[in-house]
This record gives sequence, C-alpha cells and structure tokens, in this order.
Amino acid sequence: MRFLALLKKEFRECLPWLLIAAIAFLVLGGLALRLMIQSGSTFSYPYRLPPGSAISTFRLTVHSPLITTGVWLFFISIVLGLALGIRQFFLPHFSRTWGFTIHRSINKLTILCAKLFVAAIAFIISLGIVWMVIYWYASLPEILPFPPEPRLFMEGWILIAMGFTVYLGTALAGLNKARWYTTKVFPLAFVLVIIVTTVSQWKLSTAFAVMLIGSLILLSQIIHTFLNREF
Amino acid sequence: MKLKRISKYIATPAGTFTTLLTFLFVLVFLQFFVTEIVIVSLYKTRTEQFSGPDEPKSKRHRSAKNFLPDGTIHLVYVPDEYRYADEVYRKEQIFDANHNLLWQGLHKDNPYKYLSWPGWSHGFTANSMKETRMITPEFSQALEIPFYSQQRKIEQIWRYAPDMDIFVGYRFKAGIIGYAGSTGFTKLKDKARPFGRFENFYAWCPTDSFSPTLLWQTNRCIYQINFEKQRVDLLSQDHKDPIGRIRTHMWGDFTSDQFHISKKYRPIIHINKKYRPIIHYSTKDGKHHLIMREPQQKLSITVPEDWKADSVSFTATQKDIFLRRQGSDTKFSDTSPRFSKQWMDSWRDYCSKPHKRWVELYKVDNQGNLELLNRFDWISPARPVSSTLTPRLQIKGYVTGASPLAYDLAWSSFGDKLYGLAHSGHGISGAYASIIERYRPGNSIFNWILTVGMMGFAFWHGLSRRTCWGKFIFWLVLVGLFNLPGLLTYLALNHTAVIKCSACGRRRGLEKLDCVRCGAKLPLPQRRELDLIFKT
Repeated sequence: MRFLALLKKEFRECLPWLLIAAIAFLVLGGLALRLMIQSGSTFSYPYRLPPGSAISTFRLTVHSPLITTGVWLFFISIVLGLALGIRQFFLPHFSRTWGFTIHRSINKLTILCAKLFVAAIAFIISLGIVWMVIYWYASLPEILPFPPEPRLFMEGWILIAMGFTVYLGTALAGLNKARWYTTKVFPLAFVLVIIVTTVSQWKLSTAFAVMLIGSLILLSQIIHTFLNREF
Repeated sequence: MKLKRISKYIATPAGTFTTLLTFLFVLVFLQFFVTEIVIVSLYKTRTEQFSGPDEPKSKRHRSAKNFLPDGTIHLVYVPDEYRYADEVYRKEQIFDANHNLLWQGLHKDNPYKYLSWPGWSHGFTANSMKETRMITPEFSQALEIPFYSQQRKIEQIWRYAPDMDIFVGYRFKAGIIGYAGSTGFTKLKDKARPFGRFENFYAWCPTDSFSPTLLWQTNRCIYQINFEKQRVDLLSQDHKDPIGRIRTHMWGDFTSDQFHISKKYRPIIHINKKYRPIIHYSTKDGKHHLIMREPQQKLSITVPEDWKADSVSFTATQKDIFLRRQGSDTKFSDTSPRFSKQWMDSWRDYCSKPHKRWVELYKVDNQGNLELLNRFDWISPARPVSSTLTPRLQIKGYVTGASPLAYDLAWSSFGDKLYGLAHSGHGISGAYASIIERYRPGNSIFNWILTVGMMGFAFWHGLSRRTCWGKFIFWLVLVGLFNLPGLLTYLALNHTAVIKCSACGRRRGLEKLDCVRCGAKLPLPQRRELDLIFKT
C-alpha cells in the first residue's frame, strides 16, 4: 500500500510532463508524417534513371517517410528524460522536500524504485504507445505506397530508450553532491557518449546492448548514491 | 545493508569508469582543438619541390603511360595549367618512349586510340551498407531498387533486407509480392535463399529499361540481378575463399561508365564496341579470374607469386585480352608503428630518393598464358613529404604529452588491428581506434616526464589520505596508465580534507580512524564544563 501511495505521488508529479510529451509527439510526429504523405515525397523518388546510364549506387538508398517523425521522437524523448530527471531529483533539493520524502517509515530503496518505475512507465505511456500508434498508422496499406521497414519500429524504441538513459544521467547528476562545474555533470557527459555510440551502431542487438550496459552503469551509481547520501 | 555493500562494489568501479571516460573525451576534444588551431595559425603554403615541369625526367614521370593495341607505348603529358581543365579544352602533348614529341593539341582531337582499362570504382561497399543502416534519429536508410513502368511510374520496389541477405519486393500499395535470393525470384519467403555476405554492388539502367540492374558481389560469388525480368544469374563460380574487390569494364549495358559526366562529353569518352565487357577479380590463391561477354568466356590466370593483386589489371578487345602491370623496384617497408617518429623518418627517407618504376603490357591467350609485349622503365624523382605534416608532427609531440600511456600499450599490442579499424570506416569502433592512433604519445620523453610527475603528485597527495595500500597502489597505477585523465579521476574521487595528527604532527586524512603514519586514533572531543548532562 505504501509503495502504491508512493507510485501515485510520483505519477501525479510526472503527469504534466508525461501528457505534454505524449501530446507533443502525437501532434508533431503525426503532423510530420501527414505532411510527408500529402507532399507526395513518400512516392516520387528524387532521381531519374535514364535508360543506358550507370547509376550512382548511393542514390538507391532512401530514407523512410517516418524520417521527421523519428527526429521528433528523439528530441521529445531527450527532453522528457531531462524533465523527469530534474522533476524527481533536482526539484526536491531546491524545494527542500527531500527530508519529507526520505524520512518516512519506508526504506530508501522503495522510494527510489517508485521513482524509476514511474519514469519508465511514463516513457512507455507517453512515447511508446504513441509511437506504436503512429507506426501502425504508417503501416496501413492505403497510407503509404510501400510500408515502412519493421526494423524502424525497434529503432523507435531505441530512441525512446535513449531518453530513459538521459533520465538516468540527470538523476545521477541530481543526486551527486559535487559542484555543478565539476563532476556533477559527468553523468550527462557519459550519457552523451552512450548516445553517440548507439547512433553509430547498425545492428539493433548491439545498439540495445550499448544502451543496456550504459544504463546499468548509471543505475548502479544511482542506487549506491541514493542509499548512502545524507539528505 | 547487504544491498548497500553490493551496490558499493559495483557502483565504485562504475563511477571510476564514468569519470575516467569523460575526462578522456574532454582531453581528446582539447587535443583536437589545440592541434587544429595551431595548424591553421602555422599554415604555410605547400612548397612543391619537384624538379621543373619542363625537365624530361619529370615529364616522363608525370605523363600517363598509355598503350596502343599493338603494344606501343605513348606518354601523354598534360601541362600544369591544363591539369584540372575541362576535358574538351584540355591540351595534351604525346611523346614516344624516347621522348620525341609525336603530337600536341586538344584532348578531343587526339588521333590515337589507346587501350582503356577498368578503374577502381568503390561502388557501394559493405561499409557503405553499414553506414546507411546506422540507427540515427532520422532512422536508418534502406537500399531500395525501384521498378518503373513504361509510363515512368514506380510499380514495385525491391528492398534489401541485410539480416536475411535477400531482397523483398513490394507492389504499389499492395504489400509484399515476392523475394529475390541467390536461387532466383520466388513468392515464398521459405524458398528464398540468401545471397551470402554482402561486399559490393554496382547499378546501371540497361538501354531498354528504366529500372536498375545490379552487379551484386558477396564474399564468395558475383550475381547479376535484373528486377524487371526477374532473373538472378550467378556469374562467378562459388569460391571457397573470399574473393577480392571486383573491377569491371564496359560490363553494364550503357553508353558511359562515368555517370557523373554530362552528356556533352559522352560522345568523346564513349568507348567503341571493340571492347568486350569484362569483370576481373582475384582470389587468395593468387589467381586472377576474368568473366567476359560477347562471346561468353571465363578465364583463370595464374601470375607469379610476387605480383601484387592490385598492380594488375585486364582489358579485352574483340581480338585480344591484355594484362597491364605497374610497379616499382623499391618498396617502402618499415616495421615501426605507422606515423610514429621512426616511421615518418623512414618515409621521408624513402621519398627523398628517386625510384625506378615500370609498366608492362602482356597479351593473354585463351589458356591464360602471358606474352610480354612491351615494357617501359622510368625514374620517379624524389619528392618531399607534405610540408603540413611536419608542424602537425611537431605539435603532436606536445599535445600528446598528456595522452594516456595506455594508448601506447594498446597500440603496441593490437596496433595492426587498431590501424585496420581506424582506416576501415567502421563506425564508432573505427572512431575510437583512430583516437588512439592519432593521440597516442608514441613513447615521447615529454609524456614520460609528465606521467612520472603526475604519479609523483598522486603519491604525495594520496600518502596521507590512503585508507589501504591496495587502493593506493591501484590509483597510482591508474594515474600512470591514463596520465592527466587518470590524475583528474583520482582527484575527483579521492580528494578529502586533511588535518594535522595530534600525535605525530603530520598530515592525515579523515577517511580512516587511525593515523596512517603513527596509528593514533582520531582525537575525541573533550568534555567541557558546560556539559550539563555529564555533570549532573
């Protein structure tokens, strides 16, 4: 019951961000896809292939019509990660409510788990479900001339996972007692390295593995810092 | 409590790794910017120290060595002022082997028809495929071959699925229509056999079609895929060993090999029908394989073992097959790590001497035997290494002073692998390898002095703050291996305040209850008179 109460509290605090992200992605991502469909750029190839000519092979590689939607997904995912991290781990420090949160008859780990669980759920609800809806819509036979690759669906989830990694980095930065101009921002720098490493992967499994290892490194530090820090 | 301990054992190394990695990247950024800023400020116009362009030796070296079908060699020299000129307006001078001027004028009026050879075209390689599949915010790209109707409308696309090594066909707004694999086109996914590991492909539109045909090279086979006629032809045999990069000449059914050249040139560079379409590749056993059309013919040629595969090229006319081999009598060989000081010194030494070079033309008979038709030797004059390399190397000596010694250790252990990675364009692993290659200290004295200095500082700093000898030695080793980033990591994670020990009077940290020097306990606060609790 106490855990549920904590979940409710965390969920209530994260709800505005969750809703803003969901609506923003639905509107911007959906609009980007509609514009691509209406402009016809999903159908007309940007080149001509005259008979009897060699073809520059790089011109045969094409982006999906979901290209702009992907950019919005990435951007909103990162912003949501920052917003949730700041809301859950920076704001109690500024508003001096850590003491109130921590000194309850419940152990610290449960409090931390509630925060992380709600953040993960927030990503799944606000971005994951909307992404599923947009991808499903794009896959309908009457919408696009040729359906998007199934792989893109998983790539979308990787972009969402990147946002969650940013959230973990922000959380660790928030818990770190160092000064902001010293090692406090290092978790965010580390997240940047993870993101750069992930976007350079071409195998989905490797990209997921990089994200997972990076997240575990951050998570272990978050748990340790949260359990040992004097609030 | 248990979780607290477990988390400590995982979180402490994780924290060290995170901090160290971040400092390493910060250092790389600083090194990059400092190097580039200094290079830009020191930039001097490159001074060419070639012998004058009018000297016959230099002309001979800089001339293109072209063969006529009868084996005669001509040296085609383009004066400097026309070197980058438009082909239509380019002036040329043609000399014979004894450097007698035979002809001069505009390129288009050249009366001689030389043998043309396949060029190195990189095509779309396995690395290009990986680059297009990178998981960027814009999502990965797909390789899609459009199939146009006669009305120039896209009816189908054939999308390559790298995970299955087959093509999947989609009809316009009608979903999947079939699959294309090594055994041909099929409607059932189960029947489609993978092509094999992708290596390279070329594409062209045949003269009677708006849709591309592909020459598809895997690690062991070469296929020709025609999506319009739904045909997959295996051109080569299925080799057991990986095959080398293929070179083609007049293979595609098109008027020009050079898609980037505008139409006005095409009549000029158009190569007449005297050539047979040819594909050339080599295998590990040193054999060269030719696949020719008009008429169909396959030929395997064994060349002497010391012939390097990339020094040999083939062309086939309607009458004969020719082999051209180019080379030099001296080879640059230095076993020291690439771009190290020793390596650069040997390279400069190699460049500063003239070298004997040659080109040979052979006729190949239908059994693959070679007959030497002509050979031309010349001396390539000494040339300076680019002057921009010298300041870069000089700066590198200072900039890499703070680089980790670990880079050098990695380079000396896996140098060849790292060099291969750094120059293969393999995404992030290639980028990390090139960081090590570019910023490794290269056993410089400056780096050693800095490393020892930083270890000394860490020793001085850590001696009074140590909690156990194991940790202390670990941090010293880390500082020694990672230089400045190692020292900063050490300070970020270990710096604590020190006090003067009440017993021995020397500095001691507050992390341990006993003084690390004399073993005295931390002083307890003394009872004071105003302590009402103890007084009563």
